[in-house]
Amino acid sequence: MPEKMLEVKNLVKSYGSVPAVNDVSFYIETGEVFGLLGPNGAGKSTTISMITCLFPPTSGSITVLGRDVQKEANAVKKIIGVVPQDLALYPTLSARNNLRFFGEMYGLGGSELRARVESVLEYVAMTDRANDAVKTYSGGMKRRINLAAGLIHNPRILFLDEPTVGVDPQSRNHIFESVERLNREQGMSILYTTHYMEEAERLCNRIAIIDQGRIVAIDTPKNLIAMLGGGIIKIGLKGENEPLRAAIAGLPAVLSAAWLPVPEPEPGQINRAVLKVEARQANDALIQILNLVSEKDETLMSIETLEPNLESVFLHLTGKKLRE
Amino acid sequence: MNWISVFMNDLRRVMKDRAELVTLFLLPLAFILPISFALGGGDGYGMTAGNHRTELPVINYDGTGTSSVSLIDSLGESLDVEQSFSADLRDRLGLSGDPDCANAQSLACSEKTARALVRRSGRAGMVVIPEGFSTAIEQGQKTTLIFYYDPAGDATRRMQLEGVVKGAAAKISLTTQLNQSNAQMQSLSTFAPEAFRQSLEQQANAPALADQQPAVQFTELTPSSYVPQSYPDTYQQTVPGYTVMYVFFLIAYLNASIREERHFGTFRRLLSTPISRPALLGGKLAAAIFIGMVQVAIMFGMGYLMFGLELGHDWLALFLLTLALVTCATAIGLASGASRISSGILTAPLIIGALLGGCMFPVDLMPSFLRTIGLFMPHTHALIGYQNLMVRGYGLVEVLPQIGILLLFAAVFFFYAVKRFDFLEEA
Ligand SMILES: Nc1ncnc2c1ncn2[C@@H]1O[C@H](COP(=O)(O)OP(=O)(O)O)[C@@H](O)[C@H]1O
Ligand SMILES: [Mg+2]
Repeated sequence: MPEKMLEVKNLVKSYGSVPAVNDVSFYIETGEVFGLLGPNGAGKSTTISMITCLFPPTSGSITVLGRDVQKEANAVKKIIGVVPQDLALYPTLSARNNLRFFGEMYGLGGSELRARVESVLEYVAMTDRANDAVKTYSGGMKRRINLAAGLIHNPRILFLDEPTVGVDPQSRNHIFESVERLNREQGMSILYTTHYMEEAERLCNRIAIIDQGRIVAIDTPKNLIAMLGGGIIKIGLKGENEPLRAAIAGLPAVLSAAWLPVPEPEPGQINRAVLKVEARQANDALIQILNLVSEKDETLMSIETLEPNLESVFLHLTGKKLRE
Repeated sequence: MNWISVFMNDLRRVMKDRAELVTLFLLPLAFILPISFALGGGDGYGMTAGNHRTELPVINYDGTGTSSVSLIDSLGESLDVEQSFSADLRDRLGLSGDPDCANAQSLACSEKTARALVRRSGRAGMVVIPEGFSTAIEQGQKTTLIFYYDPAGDATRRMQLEGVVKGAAAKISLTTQLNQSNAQMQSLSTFAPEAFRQSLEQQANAPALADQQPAVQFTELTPSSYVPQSYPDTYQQTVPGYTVMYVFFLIAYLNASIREERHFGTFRRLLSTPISRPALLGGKLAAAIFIGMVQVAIMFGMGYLMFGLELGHDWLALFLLTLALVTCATAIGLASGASRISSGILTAPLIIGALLGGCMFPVDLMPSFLRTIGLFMPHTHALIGYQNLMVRGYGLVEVLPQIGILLLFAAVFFFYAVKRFDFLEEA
């Protein structure tokens, strides 16, 4: 069996008594694009920081191509490339000088370094502006140089931490295409973190959904979405009506139906209840539910259908939205 | 060897930072050049050879004795020596009818006029050279110079005058006496019995005698027992003073450089590359030290080329003292980068430190408690070292204590920095 590109086992990082990363385990195969999807504060950056040798984990192990990240840090550092969440460049220096400097840190020099610098500049389409100071660039251009700096030593695995936050649509597309090309043309393995489910869905072979430092699910986007079946329907009612819930749960197009906790109503307001329905097939379920409700003479306060996507998967798994 | 890359990268960054370049290289010049041009040729106490010199009445009862003549010459280098006064001035002081001034040219009349001037705060002080002054010095006997001042007058001016008079007196007694019995003197100071040395010291520190006239006091200087001391001229005070002051602005430079690397995220990126943490910091420290050495080279070079600043004869000592100074500033900078202090807050302490450390004017113009505080400023020791080399013509051995003190400062701050340093934490 070939060695895993990256293997993380039972990773824990505690700040004081609060774990920022809590028993995280996953692996990345060679040539795979792996997504870490979770809201702000989920522990994505902390996980990447430990993998990229910034600080040691409280417990757990990390290996890159079988090498322990702590014991063989120097060997690991040559294989990995990092594109940090926040820019990591010298604003007063030109892109070329930034890239040269970071290249020198890997022991590159002379014509080899020069060739690498030109190659990554070309890769991110920044050759034209390469002699201008980084601080004169737009946000998107800075991001592209940030990406180029992570590629300067031609790593085997690249860590991209929320590379599209605060980026204009054009640069965002450029980053998507770069990730796809790196993976397709060079077989580079990629760990991509984001809180945008569309990005994870588009780019990743497999996704780990992370919340409050814990991984709540790992699978291909397709399988994760399939967990929801045909989607989720939320029905607002005047009050909890147990016979109605049981009837809906028994409908052929419905998988399950359960009451969601609802905040205390204001005095004088009608008591509301919300029923969460997992559908086998969204359209059929919707028609069947509407018929049933009118048959039972129940008043429908609201109805909301959630598309079957990673967003609703996250909501389904954690009871929260990805983005507030 | 990738610390060299870090070193070069930091130099590249500083070259792009106009504000930093101005602070490190132009501000010290902005002080050194105008002050040197304005006060050039005077002494380090702000007295000029030009149009605005402080007057010092000197009443010379010694006539044409060699020592009194050269004393007056030496005083005249930085002060306006007055030996006679105009009739108009005597009139205004009400001395026209005075019996002593029957002969207006008499020394008695001049002394009376000068005393009246000092009493009325027209002059900060005056000097009386007694009869037989030169003969006594030549014969190795003790003699007395009288420095007469108004205790109610401006203390700063008086101290300035006193400094110059003491310096001149020391110079006279040294050139004559040490020439005669150099070897004897040295063995005396080394091998003299404790009791004898004590009595010498007592004489040196003899309290001022009270005068019959209530408002005025005498101070006595006994040149033969006075500690040999040279005083810096304007250039020797101004050039090293402001150079040392701005070398310590390396603290703010390094502080900002470290904070920027945390803030820009470049430390974060560098930690994921193969460079080791010591090499990364080493490269940054080397850059700061290099910048400091260039600062000193530029300031001293300008001083030498434009004002003929005397740099002493021991170049190795000058280099090593400078290296110790720059290392000290760099270590403090590293410590500040390891703390939560930001570079903006540093400006005020850097200026106060320079003030207490004697960078802006000689420390002996300050009250003694401030001078004591000044001993805790590395500036003080760097300046003593430079003046030992430049003014007194000493060599490496004599400035080893200053080099040692500066390196001790450096070691203490470096130790703190290494214990506290965090590459990632953004305070
Ligand atoms: N240096 C730190 N000290 C204390 N808590 C931290 C520190 N860094 C991160 N955390 C906490 O750890 C959790 C995970 O943060 P992070 O990994 O940055 O999340 P994400 O990248 O998914 O947005 C957050 O709750 C954050 O507040
Ligand atoms: Mg993050």
